[in-house]
Amino acid sequence: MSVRYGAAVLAAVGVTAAGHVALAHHSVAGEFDTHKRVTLNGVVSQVDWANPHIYIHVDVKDASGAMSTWRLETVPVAMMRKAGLSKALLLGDGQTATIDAYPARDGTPHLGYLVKITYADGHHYQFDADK
Amino acid sequence: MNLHRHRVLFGGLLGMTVLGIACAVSAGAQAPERTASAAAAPAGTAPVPRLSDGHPDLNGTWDNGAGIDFIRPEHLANGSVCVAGCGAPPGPPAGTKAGAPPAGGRPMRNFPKYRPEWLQKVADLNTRQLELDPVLHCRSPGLPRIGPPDKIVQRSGEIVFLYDDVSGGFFRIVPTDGRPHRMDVDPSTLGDSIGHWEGDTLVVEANQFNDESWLTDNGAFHSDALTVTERIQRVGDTLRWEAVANDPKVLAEPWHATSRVAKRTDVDLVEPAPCVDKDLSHVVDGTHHDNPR
Repeated sequence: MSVRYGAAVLAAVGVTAAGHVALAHHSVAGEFDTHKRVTLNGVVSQVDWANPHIYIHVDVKDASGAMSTWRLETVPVAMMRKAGLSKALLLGDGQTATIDAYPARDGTPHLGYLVKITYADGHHYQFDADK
Repeated sequence: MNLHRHRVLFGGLLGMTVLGIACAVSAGAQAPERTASAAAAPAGTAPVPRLSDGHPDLNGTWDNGAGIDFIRPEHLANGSVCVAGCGAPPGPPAGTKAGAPPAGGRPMRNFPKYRPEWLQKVADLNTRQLELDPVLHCRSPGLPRIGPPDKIVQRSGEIVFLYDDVSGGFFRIVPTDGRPHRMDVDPSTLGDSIGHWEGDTLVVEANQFNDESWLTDNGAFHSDALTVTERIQRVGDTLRWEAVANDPKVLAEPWHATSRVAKRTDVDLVEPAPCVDKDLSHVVDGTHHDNPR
């Protein structure tokens, strides 16, 4: 599986001294509130396998039973491939998943940055430091 | 929206075109034979294999790290993977402390030297990078920002460079049969290229650029007077890439892009992913990562 990107993935991702990920494109903190976390329980219903950032869509049912779909940004394709992860693996066979995410700073509802996703069978993928 | 859709469609078509060219050229009967193999030797120490025309064999897929060498995923028990942030203490990403992120990018160590009358323009572009940097909008990175090719297909008189870029798939066809630059092509972000050999070094000269790409990050624009000279040398199973951009309209002196080293790999390219920006409208300040390529 190729992880190359031409020179381009540009330093698609940069890591700060604290070990945090800063995206290609723009810093994570420029779009998402890295001081806050939201926890979601739902099912990954769609993966947009695209650059400069992959997005996963998560169908979430709230306490009242209402359904909403969160759109969560994550790393670029080259980085996901380097980790050996694929669209199918992110979909997780339709398992329920628990997700930590940074919410959008501009207040856009149901938009966030994927920090960690843990599937019902216990395995997880992590994209930024745990709390 | 329509523009985005156009880019996605174009990206897909381009990807197919690139793959088609790769297959067609790879299958070409004119490809000189490789006369030695360095596959088993350590990178950088093996003898350079040559084609029947005597020139170094640059054929193959070349892993330049894609700018993410620092990412070292950890594969854990039960199929878990830590891609980033593994074991790191929490803390704000760079440029976000005290709620006062810098506008534009941070100073770069290797940046073109501009003529004085253009410094304000560079500063303005840097400040407005999120809005104006072509690669942040999935457009071509141009030369030399695109860096070394990810795959090279070489035959007598012609070399094809293939790129799997975050902005999409790109290709360049580099005649090495002594022909001059074409004069009937429209200016473009990758220009018109011709190559020749200086000893064992492939020298590629490109001109006929438009002014729609940047030389590097942080507002490093160029004019349509840009010319770029790349020097590519195989050392064992590594590829050394150097590039010099000359733009006397705006630069005070030629700019040497940061040199790159790529390693030969047996892992071939796959179809490039489409590039579709969905983020920039949600960014609430001017922060962006360094994107020097």
